[in-house]
Order: sequence, then C-alpha cells, then structure tokens
Amino acid sequence: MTTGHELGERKIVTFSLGEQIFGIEMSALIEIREWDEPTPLPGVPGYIKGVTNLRGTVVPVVGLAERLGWPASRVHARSCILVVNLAGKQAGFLVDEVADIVLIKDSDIRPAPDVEIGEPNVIKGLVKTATREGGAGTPGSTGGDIMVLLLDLEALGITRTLDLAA
Amino acid sequence: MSKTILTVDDSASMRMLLKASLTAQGYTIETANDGRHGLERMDEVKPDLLITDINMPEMDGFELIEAVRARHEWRGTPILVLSTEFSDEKKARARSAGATGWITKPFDATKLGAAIRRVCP
Amino acid sequence: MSDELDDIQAIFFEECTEGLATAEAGLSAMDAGDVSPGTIAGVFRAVHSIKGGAGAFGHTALTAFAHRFENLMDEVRADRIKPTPGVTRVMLAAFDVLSDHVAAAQGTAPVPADAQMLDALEAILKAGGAPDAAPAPAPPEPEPDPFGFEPVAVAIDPLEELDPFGFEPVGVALEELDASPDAGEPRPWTVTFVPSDAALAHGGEPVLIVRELELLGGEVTAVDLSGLPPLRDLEPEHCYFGWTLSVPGSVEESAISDCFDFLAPSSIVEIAREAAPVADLPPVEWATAAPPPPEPPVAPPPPPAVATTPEPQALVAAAPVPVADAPALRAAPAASAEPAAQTIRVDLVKLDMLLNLVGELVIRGSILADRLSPKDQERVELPQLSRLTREIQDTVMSLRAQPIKQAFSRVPRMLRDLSVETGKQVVLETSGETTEVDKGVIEKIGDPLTHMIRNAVDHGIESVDRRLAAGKPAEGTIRLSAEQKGARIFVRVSDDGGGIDRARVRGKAVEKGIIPADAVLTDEEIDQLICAPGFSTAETISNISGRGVGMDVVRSNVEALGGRVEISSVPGKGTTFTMVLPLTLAILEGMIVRLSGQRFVLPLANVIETVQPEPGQVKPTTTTGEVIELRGSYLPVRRLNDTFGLPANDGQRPEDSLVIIVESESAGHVGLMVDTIDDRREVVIKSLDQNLYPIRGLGGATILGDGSIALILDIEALVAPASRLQKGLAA
Repeated sequence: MTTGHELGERKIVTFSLGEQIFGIEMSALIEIREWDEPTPLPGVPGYIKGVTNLRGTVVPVVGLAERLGWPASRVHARSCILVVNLAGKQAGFLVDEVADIVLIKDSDIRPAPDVEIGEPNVIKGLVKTATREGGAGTPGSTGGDIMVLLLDLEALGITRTLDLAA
Repeated sequence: MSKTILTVDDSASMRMLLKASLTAQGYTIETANDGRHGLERMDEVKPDLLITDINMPEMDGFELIEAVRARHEWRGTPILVLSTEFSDEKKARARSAGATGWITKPFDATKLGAAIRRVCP
Repeated sequence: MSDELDDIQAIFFEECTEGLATAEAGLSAMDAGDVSPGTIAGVFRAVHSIKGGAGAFGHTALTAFAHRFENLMDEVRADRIKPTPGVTRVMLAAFDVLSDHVAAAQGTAPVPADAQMLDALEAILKAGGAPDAAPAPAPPEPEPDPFGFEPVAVAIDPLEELDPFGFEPVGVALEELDASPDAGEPRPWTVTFVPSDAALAHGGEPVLIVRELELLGGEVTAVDLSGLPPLRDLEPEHCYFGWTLSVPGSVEESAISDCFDFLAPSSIVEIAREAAPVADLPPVEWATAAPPPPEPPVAPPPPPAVATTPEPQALVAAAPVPVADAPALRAAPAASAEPAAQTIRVDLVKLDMLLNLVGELVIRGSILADRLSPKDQERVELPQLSRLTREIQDTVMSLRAQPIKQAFSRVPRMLRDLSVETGKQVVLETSGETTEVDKGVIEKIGDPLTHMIRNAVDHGIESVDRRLAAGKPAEGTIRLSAEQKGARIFVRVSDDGGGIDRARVRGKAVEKGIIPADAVLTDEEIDQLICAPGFSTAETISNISGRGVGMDVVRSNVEALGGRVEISSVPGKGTTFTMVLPLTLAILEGMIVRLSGQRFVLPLANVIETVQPEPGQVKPTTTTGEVIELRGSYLPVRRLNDTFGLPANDGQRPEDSLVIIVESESAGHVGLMVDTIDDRREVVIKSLDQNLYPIRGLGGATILGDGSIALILDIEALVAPASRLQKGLAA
C-alpha cells in the first residue's frame, strides 16, 4: 500500500499500547487483523504468544507490551494484530488499538526520549504529528499534537537466544 | 513481414542472447536446443535462415546441416554457422556439409546483422 | 548491463554450474580410469560452452583460461594427446582454477592466479602428451600452438579455390597500392566480382553482396553478361553474372572485403583503388574466357537497395524476456553409457506453488469426505477422488525428489583444497549418491555437510606421521554415504581417524562452563557436547573449521529440517557423524492427538500401536519416569502434557488417556501418553523456521481444515532422555 510520497517523507501507522502512542513504517505493514487467540508454542519466551494462520502461512504472534518489558496487554474489543515484515520474516504484534496513518517528514524526527522500556534500542525516535478532528482517539488527548514513538522494527526481530546444549 | 530465423544452440543463455540481439534488429526468432530438435523445428517453422552452433550433444551442427540440405525444399535456405571455433578444417567441413557462411563467436551485433543481410534477402 | 542481459547472464551462470558439475564428474571418471570417448567429449563440451558464453558476456580472464583448457580437451578428444594419469591430474587442477574463474566472473570470489596453470597446460600442449613422461618415444618436435589467438588473415590468390569463409580479406596484395599522394581525398575503390557457378548453392545469393556494397555507398558501374548462355541452356542454379562497382574511397577496405565473407569458393573478387598508374593494377580476370573491358551496363543495374533494414543496434534489447516463463527443453548431457533422458527445467517457485496447491487439495478432500454421510462415503467416486489426489501428490512429490549426488558434488574439490591446506592426505569414498531426496533437503544440507567434512579432516584424520605411527595407512579415508530407511534419510560422514578425544572434550566443556565439573555424562552425551555453541577443541582455532560454531550450526540446520545429528566414535578408530533427515519436507501422514484440548500431529510413520491402558498397566519406576507393561516387556512412557508444560488434570489417570507406542531411533519403543486421538490424516508441513525458528520437540506446524494450527511433534526429541528435553523446553 505504499503510495507515492516525496523523498524525505514517510508514512507511518500509529497505534496505542498502554499509555503510549507508537508508530511503525507503513512499508513494513502487511496486514491488520482482529485479535484471534494464537496457538501456543512450547519452549519460547513469554512474549511469543503463539502462532496464527495468516492465509496459509504460520506466523508468530508477539505480545508487544511484553516484548518491551511491560506487563501483558489485556485483550479487548479493539485489540489488533499488526502483521509486519521483519527482514523477510513475518510476525504479528498485539497492540491495543490502531490509530491512524500519518505522513511525516524525516526532518521532524527527534531523538528518543527516556521511556521506560525494557529494550531501549527499539525506539528509533520521536515525532510530533497532528491528529485529525475526531480521529481515532488517543487516551488523554483533546486533539492537537500527538507525540509518536517510532519503533525500530529490525530491533524487534525475533531471534533465537542461544541456549546451552543439553 | 519480418524474416524468420531459426537458431540452434544447446546453451540457453546463448539462445537468449541471440534472440535478444536479433529481435532488436527486426527478425522473428525461433529456437531449438540441439540438432535433432532443430531438424524438427525446421519443418514447423520453415525459417528464412538457419543459424546453428557446432558443438551440441546427440546431433551436432555438421550433421544438422547435412540433414537439412538433404531435404529438397531446403536446398536454397541460407545456413550460417555461429561457433566459437574458427579452424580451417571446421570451416571446410561446414562448407562441404552445405553451410552458406560461418560467423565466429563472440559476435558483434552489427557484424551479425550485416552477415545475415549478406545471405538472407 | 541492462536488466534483460542480467537475466540472460544469470542463466549463463546456471549453465556454468551445470557444466562445471558435468566436467568434474567426467574428469573424476577419467581419473578413475574411464577414458571412453563419450566421457571425454562431455568434458570438452562443458568447457567449450563455458568459454563461448564467457566470451559473449565479456569475461576476458575466464574466456582466456577456458580457451587454453578447451584446447587441451580438444587434443585429448581427438586422441592427439593421451589422457594419462599425469595429464588427467593436471586437467583436474585446471578444472579447479576454471571453477574459481567462474566464481570470479560472478563476483563471488577473487580472480584466481592462473599463470602457473596456464603454463602447465601449455607444457602439455607443446609436448603433445604427458608432462611427466620423460623418456619413451622421442618427443615430437614441438608444434606451434595451432590455437593461439592469431587472427586468421590470409591473402587469397583469386585464382585458387579457397574457402572464403571467415576473416580472410580477399583481394590482391594491397600493400602495393597506396593512395597516391594526391590532395587528401582517397581515391574510390573499384570492386569487381564474378561469382563462380557454385555461388547459388547452399543458399548463397550473390545479389545480396551487391546490395550490401550499395549500402556502403557503392554503385554498379558494369554488369558482365558475357557468360550468359542461350535460354535453353540456362541452368537456374548457376551464376552467370559478374559485377563491377565503384565504392567511395572513404569506405574502409575491410568493410568491402567483409561483404564477400560468404561468397562461394572459386569466385573471383578484386578490390582496388581506382586510377592508380595503370601498370600497377593487376589484370582483371574473369571466370569465362573472353576478357571484355568494362562496358556501359547492358541491363539496367539493380535498383539501389531500398530494403528497410532496421538500424543495427548494440546488444541492448527492447522487450524484456521474462526468464521464469521459458522452460527450456533440453536433452540431459549424455554420459557414455546412459541413454539421454528428456528433462525440463522448472522454476522452483512454481514447483513449490504446485506442492502447496496439492496440499490444499488433500486437506479439502478430507474435509469433503468428512461431510459426506457414511453411505455416501462408500460411493465409488470418493475412493476414486482420493486415489487421483494421491497420485497427483505422489507425482508432484517426486518432482521435488532429486538424487542426493548434487549435495555431494562440492566435496571432492573441498577435499582437494583441504588436503593442500592441512598437509593431510585424504581419500573420499562415496555411496548411495543416487538416493533421492526432497530438493529442499538437498539445498539445506550443503552447509552442514561442508562443516562435517571440514571437521573430519581437521579434527578426525590425523597427520601422516601420527597415522603411520599408529599403524594406519598414510592416507585417511572419509566415507560419505546416503541411505534411505523408511521415512528417513541417513547421510553419514565417517572417517578412520583418531576418534573423539572425550577427555579433552569434557575438559573443554567444563572450562567453558557448558557443564558443571562434576557432571556425569555418558560417552554419547560427551560426543554431543561438540555441537554446543561456543565450543571448540582445536588448540589453535583453524581457519578451516572455525570456532566449533560449525557443529552448532550443523545441528540447528538439521533440526530446522526436522532431523537430528547422531555421533558415534571409537577412540583410535574413527568417528561417524550421521544426519538423519526426513524424506520429504512437505507432506506428512499423521495422527491428530489432543493434549489439554490442543491438537498436535504425531507422525504416523513411527507409530506402532495404540494402547488404552488398564488400571495398573502404567507403573512408576525408581528413577523419575514411568513404564508401561506390554506383553511382558516394559517400555518407557512420556506424558506429553508434562513435556510441553500443558495443564493436565492433576494425577491424570493413565486409564483416562491413551498411550501411543512409537518406534524411535535413539530409544527404541517408547509410549507417548496423550489425552485423546482425533483421527489420522495427511497434513502439509509448514516450517516453523520460515517466520520464527526451530523449536525442540516440534517438527513444524500444519494448518488444519478449519484454519487452526496444529503443531507437529518430533518424536526423536520427545523420547530423548527427560533431562535434556526438559531444559530445552523450559518455558
């Protein structure tokens, strides 16, 4: 769904998780799905909730909150799974609510602030965006500017932690 | 109506290269991947010109040329050999088998075009 | 280079790979004594093709080397040089350099230094035989290399019958004719030619030459019709005309002479500059008797060529040729004894798609069958449908099956290199190369195999001195074999080296903190430590096998395929590494079982029987575990709910469960306790590796008919000693 945009600009998808608003590159997004209980997997870190069937492909589902070191999200009616492409592999991330697709300028991206996150390198930066009147609401906002934390999807990649043999 | 050329070479990349080069010069190209296949295609395609390699498994270029010339209806069809070899014996052999001309690989597209015009009205 | 050319070059590199494989196979056969013409011709053709294509794509170093190599092959093929063992060995070494050149052309390796090899080839060519055969027949006078790069340019005497093919410029000795020192402008050429009677044979058409000269700017000034017979004597296939043309002096002489490239022999051609002092011009001779002077044209000259010849372009084409759409029908290169099989090259992506579709077909078929009433299920159409589906499935599966030989092909070269690097002498024995394996497997075992071979040479085979001291032959032997047993393929790398030094392995493992100092391990467990991450026993970490990362990677690669690595070693005698792999990566016949409500797939191939235990049939044992008594013997039992950390009912009673007896490689017959069994069906295996990573205990996942996912159980991992598995699965 990448439509043309100027150099130096990019589209991001914003969503809420806990108290924060995050954004990821639109180009990495494959699909947004409703929450569906994944099939649990044995022997995986707690943030991997299991696997789900994405049109014939087996895709892991990650609890993004837990991945960031926070307590697990509680699933509710508007919970979604963002299916993204991480260096050729697909993964789904559980988020609270998808907000909006916004166009930002690279020049507007500021360095990441101190956020309490288990893995700090996953935040690429901070950007300010304007919200539309009556757009998908974010908690505690009355319209106006929203601060979006940009996630580094590569850093979120699911790698196998080398376990010691036998 | 563009001319039809049948090219015979057991290397797929060479066939593709020839096809690209000659199609750009306005010819219609049909291909075959060895001598035997080439003979079959002669019947199907009835080309205006046959370009063939020499070293091919099963039926090599010389045998193909002889088989083509044995057919009455193809005696007037120009045949060019396109091969990396260039020895006099090979050329003589091609000549006596019935080839019209010999072009050495690697070929220059312009020269190839000129050579084709030289034999194919 | 344009995209299209890139695509074509990619195909060329694929052909090179195949050609190199053919050549290596042929050379190995020759090394082993098979010097039949078919074998030699196969090697020649392979090298010849590589040279041809390389030239077309401008890889000069590769072309030059291949050319010299090809010369040698040509001499051998023509029986002018005998393929003695010495010569064959040089050819094998030359082959290695050729491979390196191909890799360099592809940009995956540096250009090899080939001066020494070129000299060696040159030496054989000059000597006309074995380089090491010093005595024997008096060495023939070294012939000048007939295949050097000198362009064949010969001045042709127009009166002789000579083949005007190719590069010979025709004409008189032109050095004598200078452009006279007139003011700047070169004088025009007078071109005269009289095609011989045979000119119209073999598709020749002399008029085209006239047209070509006209394209260069020439004009016909005279046509000689003196040879024209009366109509009744006219032979349609003879040429009776002669032409004289005037071509502008600015045209290059070579351009003019090129026009005559294909003119039949015994034709007359003259190219000369006009109006030089008359005495220097040779007399114009005609094929017929009468020597008429140039006359005004009797017949109207042929009209200037109006043929719209398209602009000759450089090698950049317009319409892209979609590569994937062109399945090339080609005959497989014939070995000297085998009949050539018709093969077709298929895009692997398409094959995978086909396989997926077949899998879906299988699933839908099952669902459909389930929906039918029992009465309808018995109708003949259903079994027919099932049979057809199965046949399609089998055929598609067999498309993916290839002889494992492909995976072995790198090994001989690798061993030659390793021999040189380590100074150890190693001989390779292979068996079972024709064993057919899923193509996906072949692709994935390449790297593990490489590691295992390197390990065997590096750590297994001892140095020549040590071997001799131990009473072994100086040459070490590595045995590479593939065997199919049931639903598994066994690929073994076996060496007759010193075996695994278990004391040292154990010591290193303790040192690296991999095991506690007081751990008690069986020999097999110590052997498996080699596969632990971060492990290496090499005192100096050799370049070849790296940091023992090799074996860890091997194990995870193999497990990702749903297989496992077995090690067996006898000190002083040797070590065998076995990769046990599934026969197919795609479809599995399995039993759907339930554990705490969740569905899992148990591969049916290993299932022996299913038991509904009687009270007391399953008994606890003194070591942590349970056994089931079955017809007098006691088999270990694993509660799969526990294994996977699933919430089973506390004190789940065996009599409320089912125990499935499976056969395993490592532990014999073992009972697996599950809650219930749903049914048995065929499932399409989806690899966990695709988007996640391999998980111990699982051989992948599958998507059931209702869209839900069932995990596939890996029996070998499940029956492994409890402690190991527990650690691996600790959630």
